[in-house]
Amino acid sequence: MAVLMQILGWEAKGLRCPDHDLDFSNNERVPYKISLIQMPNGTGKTTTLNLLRAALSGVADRNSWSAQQVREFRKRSPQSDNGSFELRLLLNKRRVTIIMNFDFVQGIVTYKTTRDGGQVERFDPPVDIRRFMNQNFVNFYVFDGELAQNLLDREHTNAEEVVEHLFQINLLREIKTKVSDYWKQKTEKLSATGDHGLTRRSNRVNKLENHLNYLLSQKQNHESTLADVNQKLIYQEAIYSSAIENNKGLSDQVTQARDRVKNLDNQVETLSEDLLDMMACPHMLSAHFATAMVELKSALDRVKLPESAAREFFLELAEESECICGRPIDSHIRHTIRDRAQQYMGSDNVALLNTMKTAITEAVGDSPKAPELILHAKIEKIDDIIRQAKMAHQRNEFLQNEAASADPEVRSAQQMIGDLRSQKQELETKLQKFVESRDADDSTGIAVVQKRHKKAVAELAEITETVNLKAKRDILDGILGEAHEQAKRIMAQEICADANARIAELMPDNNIRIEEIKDCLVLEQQAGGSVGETLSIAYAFLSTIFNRSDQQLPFVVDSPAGPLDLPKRNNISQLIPKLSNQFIAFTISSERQGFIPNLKTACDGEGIQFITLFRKGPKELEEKAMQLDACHVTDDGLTVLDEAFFNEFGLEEEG
Amino acid sequence: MRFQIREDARKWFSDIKGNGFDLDFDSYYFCLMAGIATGRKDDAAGREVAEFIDYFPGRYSDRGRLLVALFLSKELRVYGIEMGEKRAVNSLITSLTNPESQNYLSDEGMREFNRYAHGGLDVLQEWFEDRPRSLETFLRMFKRKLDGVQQESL
Repeated sequence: MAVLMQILGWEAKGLRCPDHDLDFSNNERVPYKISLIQMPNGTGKTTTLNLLRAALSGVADRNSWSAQQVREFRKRSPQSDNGSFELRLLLNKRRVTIIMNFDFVQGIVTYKTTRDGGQVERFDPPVDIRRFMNQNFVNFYVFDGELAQNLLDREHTNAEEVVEHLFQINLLREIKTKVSDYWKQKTEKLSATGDHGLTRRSNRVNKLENHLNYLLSQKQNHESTLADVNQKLIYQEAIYSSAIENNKGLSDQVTQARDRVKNLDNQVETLSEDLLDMMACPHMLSAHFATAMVELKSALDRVKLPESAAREFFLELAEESECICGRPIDSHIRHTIRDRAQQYMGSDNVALLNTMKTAITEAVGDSPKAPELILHAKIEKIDDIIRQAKMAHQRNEFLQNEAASADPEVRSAQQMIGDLRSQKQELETKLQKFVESRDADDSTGIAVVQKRHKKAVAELAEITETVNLKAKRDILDGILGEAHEQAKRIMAQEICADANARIAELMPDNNIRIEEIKDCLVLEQQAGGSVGETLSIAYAFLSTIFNRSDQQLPFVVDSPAGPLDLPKRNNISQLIPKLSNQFIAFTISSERQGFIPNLKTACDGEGIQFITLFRKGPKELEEKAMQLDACHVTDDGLTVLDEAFFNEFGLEEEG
Repeated sequence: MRFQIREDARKWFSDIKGNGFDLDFDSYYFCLMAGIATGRKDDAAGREVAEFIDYFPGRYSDRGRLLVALFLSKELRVYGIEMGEKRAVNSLITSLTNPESQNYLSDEGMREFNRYAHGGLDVLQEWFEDRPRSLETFLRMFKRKLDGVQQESL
């Protein structure tokens, strides 16, 4: 976004310079393109420039200046306890006022910023212009000879940074930071984000997949073998039954014995389920348990627990102003009621305890030992059936052995059936391991491994997406980095070329040139130039960057032509109107020669504002000034807005 | 919170699963009863445990209040709280129960309930030389061992 900054004026009171109020607007309330402020030495030119820099950069906000630094701005005669500097700006056509209030007794400075109809007690310029209102940047548009020298010194200024901000090349770096922040936000909850993590997760998926396939194939093999064994078993049992049936003498006995075994085994199974169901009642499982429950209920009844009143009743009572007995409830009683209410259960707990007591009564009744007696009877019954089943098994085995010894076909079938049953049992045991519930990668439980595989696949998908994102981030990062470097390099080269062309215009007989912009301005084959050369280089550089960018900033200069010889003054005065849309210069009378007339010519009729500011004292000058309409007098200074006065002004103490 | 069962408990009961003994809660119940009868609690620290359900399932659904009553009776005895100490009784019951919960237990109550079940498995492993192979043998043996322990404690 383009920026247009103009200085409308400033007012200084109680400070080391004479009190003054400068307004740089013409009759149409538009700032002059060029304002020249003539201040004799000792009038507080340096103080005014420093105040301007501090107001534009906020450098003294939040107590950043020491008390001593603050007191250096104090008016000496008469000594002031307070002072203020008010800077009026036009920022993108919006009026902004920055006020610095000095408290010299405490040694502090406080800022106020007025904009958009409101005032805040701090340095708070609009966001879109803030990047130009910091200490480094301000030095480039509030400029003096010393700063011109600093342009060539990497210890003092950062010309490269100014170029970046002025041409908004830094936006590429900011986009890079945004990309990086986005990546961090997307990946902060992930345990792995890189290729290594991708490989690790991919390997895990493969491993689990192989393991799962192995288990499924093993299970399928075992099930297939088991089906085969079952078929053979059925076949052999049929052969056996047929062979037994052929032996008329044993056939009926064997069948009977086998049926009895089957019948008794079924009874054991049914009775076991009944027994389990009974034992799953704690009061039937043990008379001790039943007794414990009944005793709990009786004891609760005995002590009247749960209470008929619940905690909530007392908590509500504590909110009342009167007790139900009519006595008033003061804060002490209220506190006591609330405290003692904690001794009572909540209504939910009361209900639970009551249903628990009912459940005990319904389950156990009056005799805690009775349920266990029913269980004992059941156990006796099952003991008896098991005993009978054992005998039936023995009888069955005996008869089968009889049949086998009488008939080789029965013996063979019996042998085969025995082998097949062993195989069947072995296979069933093997199949059991596939329902293992142990939750680990090497578990043999198929459901467990399937679940872990599914999770691993999801994790792999997550990191695959992340890795793709990372690849995109790396590409974008590279493009932005390269674009930033290229933009910086090309811009620096073009600025160097333009600035060198201007230097050639300013100093046609001099071959001093800028080689590159690297932190500071680096000159070709030499570390620095004379004061005049340095100032010319600085003007050439600054006029180049201010002319090329969309950012229109004011240009404030101390002694624009002071150190220059007359030919160079002429050249500089040609350049100044092109430097920026607002040029404010602090001058002394000795600077006028070879500068002011040429500057007027270069402005081609556009108005120049001539301001002379001096301390009260020289009576002749004061009288002369006060004869003019455009003279403003303060307690210790005079400000004269008059071209003729400006051009004729001279004080002996100037030097 | 949910009921927790030690993984080795699942394995220990694996041979008698089926024929009515089908639920994880069946295994949990016998562990719990052994733990309460002997007063053995264990945190199962360093062991694999599985959280399975947060309600009393199947045949236990109408026996949940009895199990909680038995548990409260045991805890009151363990902490040596007399029924006359109403404030202490109220406090213990309130801290161990939660009327809003499907299992009537607070988180603290559930933690202690599970500790009895975890400790109970150790008791079972001491009572039985090997893990049970048939339901009828297990149930009868369990009852004999339980009676023995409770007889001793009288």
